[in-house]
Formats: sequence, C-alpha cells, structure tokens
Amino acid sequence: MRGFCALALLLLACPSRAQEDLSSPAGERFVYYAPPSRSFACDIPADWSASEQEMPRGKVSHILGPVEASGVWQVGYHIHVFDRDKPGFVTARDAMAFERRDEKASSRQATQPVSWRIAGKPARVFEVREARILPKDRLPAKRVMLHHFYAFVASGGNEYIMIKLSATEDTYLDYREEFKRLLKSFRVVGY
Amino acid sequence: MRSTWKSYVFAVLLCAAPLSARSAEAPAEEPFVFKEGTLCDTDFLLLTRAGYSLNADGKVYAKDSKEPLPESDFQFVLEEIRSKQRLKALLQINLILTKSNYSDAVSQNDREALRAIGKENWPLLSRHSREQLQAYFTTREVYEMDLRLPKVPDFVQGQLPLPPEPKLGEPVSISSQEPLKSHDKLLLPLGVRESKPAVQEPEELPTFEPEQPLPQPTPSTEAAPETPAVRSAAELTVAPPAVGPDEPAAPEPQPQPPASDQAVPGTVSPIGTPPEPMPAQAASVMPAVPPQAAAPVIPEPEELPTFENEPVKPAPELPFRTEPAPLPPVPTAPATAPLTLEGEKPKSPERAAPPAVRQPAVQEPPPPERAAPPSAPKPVVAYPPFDPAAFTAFLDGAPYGRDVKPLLSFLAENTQDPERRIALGLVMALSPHIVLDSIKAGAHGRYALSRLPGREGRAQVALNDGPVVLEAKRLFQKSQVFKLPDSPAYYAEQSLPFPTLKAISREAPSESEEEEDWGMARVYSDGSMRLRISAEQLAGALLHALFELDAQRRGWDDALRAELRASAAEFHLYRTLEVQKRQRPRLDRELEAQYREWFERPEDYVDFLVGCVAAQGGQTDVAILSEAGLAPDLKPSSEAQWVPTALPKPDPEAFAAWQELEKAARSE
Repeated sequence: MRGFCALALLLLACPSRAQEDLSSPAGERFVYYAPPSRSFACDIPADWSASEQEMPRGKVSHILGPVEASGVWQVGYHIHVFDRDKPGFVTARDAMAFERRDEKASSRQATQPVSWRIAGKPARVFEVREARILPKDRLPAKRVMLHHFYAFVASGGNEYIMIKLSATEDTYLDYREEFKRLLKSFRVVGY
Repeated sequence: MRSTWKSYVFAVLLCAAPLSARSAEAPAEEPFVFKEGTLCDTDFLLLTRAGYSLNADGKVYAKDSKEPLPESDFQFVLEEIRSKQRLKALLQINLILTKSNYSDAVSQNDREALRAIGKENWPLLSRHSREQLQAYFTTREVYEMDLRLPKVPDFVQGQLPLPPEPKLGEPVSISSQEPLKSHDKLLLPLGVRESKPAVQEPEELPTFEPEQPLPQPTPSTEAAPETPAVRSAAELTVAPPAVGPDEPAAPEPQPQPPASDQAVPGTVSPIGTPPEPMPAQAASVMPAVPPQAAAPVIPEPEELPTFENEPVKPAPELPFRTEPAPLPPVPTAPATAPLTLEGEKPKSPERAAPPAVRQPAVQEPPPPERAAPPSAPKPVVAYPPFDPAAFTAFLDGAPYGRDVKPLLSFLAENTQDPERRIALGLVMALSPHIVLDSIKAGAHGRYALSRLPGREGRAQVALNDGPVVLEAKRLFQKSQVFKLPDSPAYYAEQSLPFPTLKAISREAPSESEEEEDWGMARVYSDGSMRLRISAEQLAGALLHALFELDAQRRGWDDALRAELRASAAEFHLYRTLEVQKRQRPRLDRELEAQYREWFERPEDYVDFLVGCVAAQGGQTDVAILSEAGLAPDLKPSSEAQWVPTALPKPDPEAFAAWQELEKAARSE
C-alpha cells in the first residue's frame, strides 16, 4: 500500500514531456530571416549577422554569432542550399558519407545519424567533433575542440539543405537549444 | 480484507483525482487561428478545395469535424495538401509529355493543357519544373505568374510583424462565382475571368546601384547580397520586359530601391553593406623584424596603409637579419597594401580590446563619407604564358638564396596553369624578396607579407620554416598543444618576457628528430619541439603567399574569396603531387586536416574560414600564452565577445578567379 502510494505520487511528480521548453534564453529576441534567394526561412537571434553568398555548388547563408570567449572561433549557423544543376553536385547520401567520415589528421568523429522531421520534411541529424589548431595561420595557437551539429533536410527532388551549427566544445551546449529552435522554425520555401 | 479494498479504492481515487484534474487543467492544443498574412491565396484555395472551412473566429475546421485544426498540425496538413496537388499536376504534365515522347513538338491541345496546368499550379511547382514550363508561356505571363509566388513576410525594426486583428466578423462563405477578396489581392474562383488585366503595378524594386537601370530578369550568378530582414516577394520581384511577344510594348516604370535596403539598427546585417574600411592598425604589415639578442632595437613601423588605394608610406629603415640583395627598382601596382583577413588582429601595441559589454553584432549605418569610399579603378594585371627556358634563365640570375631557388624550381615543375603562370609570372614581374625565417614571420604561422624599406617598397615574403610546439601535459586531462612564435619583438610587443624554451632560443642543440603527433619535429631536452616543415609544405606556403600578393596587386577587397583562391592554388599543388606523382605530400597535421577538408568537404572548409577570419579577439594571444604558462595567469573570461563582424563584400572578379582555380583543381 505504501509503495503503491509512493508510485502514484512519483507519477504525479514527473513532469510531462510536453512541458519541455525550447524557448531561448531570457532576453533573446528572434527575427524571421529569409535569404535573398528565398530558398528557406527561419528564426535567428536578432543580434546575429547574416549574409548569403554564392558557392560553387549552391548558396550558403552564414549566420554569425558572437566571438567565443577564447577569441579563436566565431559561433555560427551555416545553411548550405545545394543546387543539383551546379557542377560537383553530389547526392545527400554521398554528402552525408563525406561529412561523417572519420579523419585522423583532425581526430574527426561523427555520431550515428538520427531521423528527424524538419519543416515537415525528412531529415537526418548527427554531430561531429574534431580537433583543430586555432587561430588559423596565426601564432600563438592552440588545439581547440570544435563541435558541429549537422542536419540534412530534403528540400525536394534530389536537392537538399545542410544546416550546421559550429561552436567550440566549451560553448556547444549553450547554443544547442537555440539551434533546435532554428530547426523547429525552419521552413523550406523552395522558390 | 475490506479495509484492504478500501485502501485500494482510496489509492486509486488519490491517483485518479489529481490526474483528472491535471488532464482538465492541461491546456488543450492551441488551435490555428487565421490571421492576415499567415496564408497566401494559393494555400487558402487549396484548403477550401480540400474541404476545410474557416470560422468567424479564424479557426480552421476539417470537413465534418467540430474540433479546430491545431496549430502544430496546420503546417503538416497544408504541406500534405500542397504535395498532393503538386503530385497531381506533375503526373498530368508527365502524361501529356509522354505522348510527344518529351519532344518539343507538342500538339496545340497538349500545349493548352500544359499552360492550364502551369497557370493553376505555378506557385506549387518547384523552380526546375517552372523553368521547364516556361517554354510554353510568354515572358509577361511568366512574370505575372511569378507574382503569385508565396511572399515572405516582412518585418520592421527587427521584430516580427504584428498580425492585425482578424476582420472576420461573420461566418465566411466562399462564393463560387464572385471574386474572393483575400488579404493579398482579388482571388478569382476557377473558371472566372477577371474583368481587367490583373497586372500589378510593379512596386519598388531593390537595385544595388540606384543610378543604374534595373537589369533584365536574367538569373544572376553573382553572390546575392545580404538582407537585413525578410522582404516581401513583391519587393524582390524583377520587373518584366517591356515588350512581350503577345502584347504591345508597354514600358514599365523603372522602380527605385526600397527604403528597406538601408541598414536598420538592431536587425540583421544588410545586404551588400560595404565593409567598413579597416583601421590602419588592422591593415598593418608584418611587425618589425626583431633583432637577435645583440641586435639593435628595431623601430616600430609607421601607420600602415589600408585597403584603399592609397600610396604606400615608406617604412623606416629596418636592420634585417638577412639583408636583401640590391635589386633595380621594380614597378609596383598602385593598390598593393598588405592584405589581412577581415577582422585580423592588428599587430600594433595599441590594439583595441574587445568590448566588455555585449553589443549587437550588427553594423551601424556607416557615416556618409565612409559609406561611399572613392573607388579607384582596379589595375589590370596580366601575366604572359609561362616559358620554362625564360624562367630558368631568370632564376639563374635572380638574387634568391640557396634555400629559396629550389622552392621556385619545385613550383615550376609541379604546378600547372593557371597557377604556374600567375605565381611565377608575379615572381618574374615583381621579384619579391623571399626568405625562410621564422623570426621575420613573427606572429604568422606560415608566412608573412610585408614591404622592405625604401621608396619602392619591394614586397617581402617571409616563410615560417618551423614554429615552436609546446605540449603541456596534464594529470587528468588530455595534453594541450600550443604553437608559439619565436620572435623576440613579438614578446616585447606583448610586454612579456622572452620564453626560455630551448626550441625558441635556437641556441641549444636538439636531442633528436622524431615523427611527432603534429609532424616531423626536432625535440629538445626540455620537451619543447620545433616543427620541421617539408619542402612541399614550404612550396605550398610560398604559392599561397604569391597568390595573396597577386590579389593585393589586383586591388581586391574581398579577402575571403582571395584567401579561398590562394588555398585552391596551394591545395591543387598537393593534389597534383598526390595524383600524378603518386607522392603523398608531407604536411603537418593541421594543414593535412585543412587539405582533406578542402578536398572532401569544400563547404566545410569555407565555413571553417568564415569562423576563423572573424574571430580575432584582442585578448586571444595573451590568453593562449597564459594557458601555455608563458604569461601571467589571466582570469579566463566566460563571456562571449560581441565584436561587430561582417563578411567582406563579394568581389565578382575575385569570385570568378576562385571558381576558375577550384574548377581546375578539382578536375583531376
């Protein structure tokens, strides 16, 4: 009887999963952002800077945040939109294989991909960890562990979008929830 | 027994009561409420066709359902309806095209059918499908249909638009014969023709140069500019050509750029905002070459030129360790200011400390005099085709040392055009002073570009032939690896004592030469190491430096694309060695990682450069030296530094040159 009541009380005390809050840290403002190419739209922190630039295999939007406390890396979201008409286009499967490939020089290791649904479309998500010497080509420099959060979103046909969060190991967890918020608000406009 | 049952009933009631109360208190899923701007006309029409109805309070109900559609499900429902309609349209198009075996000879009936399908489903089709269907429409029709593409909501002052109150006071009934006045425009039911042409008056369009007429709607291959915010599709549409094949000439008014192109404080950085001219300290050249212990004190160089095409100020006379051989004056390009990456840390002592207060990372609108810097015409740089005999004759008489000539010969033998033509053509044209000296390289990990004293300001490339590596072992953590400069002037500039590491002093002999975790290194008795850079890596660094000199000579302000182009040239050299000569280049570990990243994951390499070039905090050097035990303990700051950063404005010429080298490098 006592155990039964304790179990009942435990059940009541457990918070439901639906109560998990993905909201941003207090004081953060988010703005709706869509690049000039209008290929996607999402919410980004209001005080981050964003720019879209041309790439050989498509377009990329660099959404840059603050310089980290160590001063060697700038946190950012990098959203690559791949165009299948551009030379060098590889399928999402091959691109994921390249991204997840281990590499000895940088001790690059990737986690297993997880299936998600982003913008109502199938997506694969995984994380990568690597060691780099930063700042690049500057002295003094030190070894820094970088964490990348990849999300491959099928945008239609063979085309896909690669969304990436890049941060150092020290601050990766601080931006992970914000990145989830970006993924949640992400929409493939596709025109 | 009875009391046991009672206790069970009590327990169940105890559990059930809060649970039921909890379930009753649990907020029901928020229904989707229609607000102005949340749905475009096409989606609205699709929903109504699929049997969804809109109530007076703006809630959407499925057919024969009394529960409003939850907001979390709405986008999925909408996407499903869109997908169904898109699939239906594509199947119909495929069926029609199959009849003509996908040839251009489509019968008149099929052509009309394709046009009808295209007109009806234009906003739903993908860009590729629309491009294929454009052959069946006139340019004006395509423009009019493009106006129906979904619009992206606009926002003002960095905030999401506040949706106005819904004006639906009565239950909405959609007539099948009358046009529906939606939030955007008149929405005609299918089969009902509009009384007047629905060509909208073109709104103001963004033009990047207001004084020039708007270009024709041809797809641009240039980098799209940044935008401070989402703009409506109407602002981003391109004006149609004045004359269409099926209509008389109707000249459209040339729109002017909208006011939203201007930077809005507190928002995302605007498109094409010209990067602020770099401060003089940021564009500094290589710091003064430090003397040895007994060498005289080197004076600080004067203020250094910026990116602007200003004449290079002559630097004071510096006593270099290796005096360059006298050369006849070499003509230099007008815009040959030293190129530093955006945000690269200035090397002068009065470097600006990062702001302690968190500030928005957006650029304020620059003052008028800085917003429109005088743009001088860029010099036209061309190199003649590479002639091996002429280069050999040049090298025999060139004033280069015994360690530099083999590097140039290596480049002549192993690089291909256009890299060889550009790099060695630059060497023959400018004869830059090239030395292998880690002290002259200063705080640069691979090479440093500077100018020799003198009126002509001859360029100097100082290759770092071996940075010092220090591995700090820890008890419970993985050891940390540091790369350190060995320039006494650098430490004097930082007001730090010169380290006593034997690898830095160069006075103690090394104990052994081993293949360490970070490459071949000479190991000293105190555990410090000095990397031994291979000839291939030195040649690659020289090639990289020559391409950076070439970018300076061409007057490119796009440091990112210039760096990408130089990297492509360098990595192409390694790729040539690996593929053609079956010789894996001996690179240190970090360069090997960059090379693999460039080759296998080019997008990651660009992201890596972007993350590096902007991150140059003022306290970085001292913090790293402190961590290495070479500086007083610095209290680590846990607060991120908000330094206004902006990527350099894309230069079309630099982008095209980068593309050319990338294509050549990856063709193997």
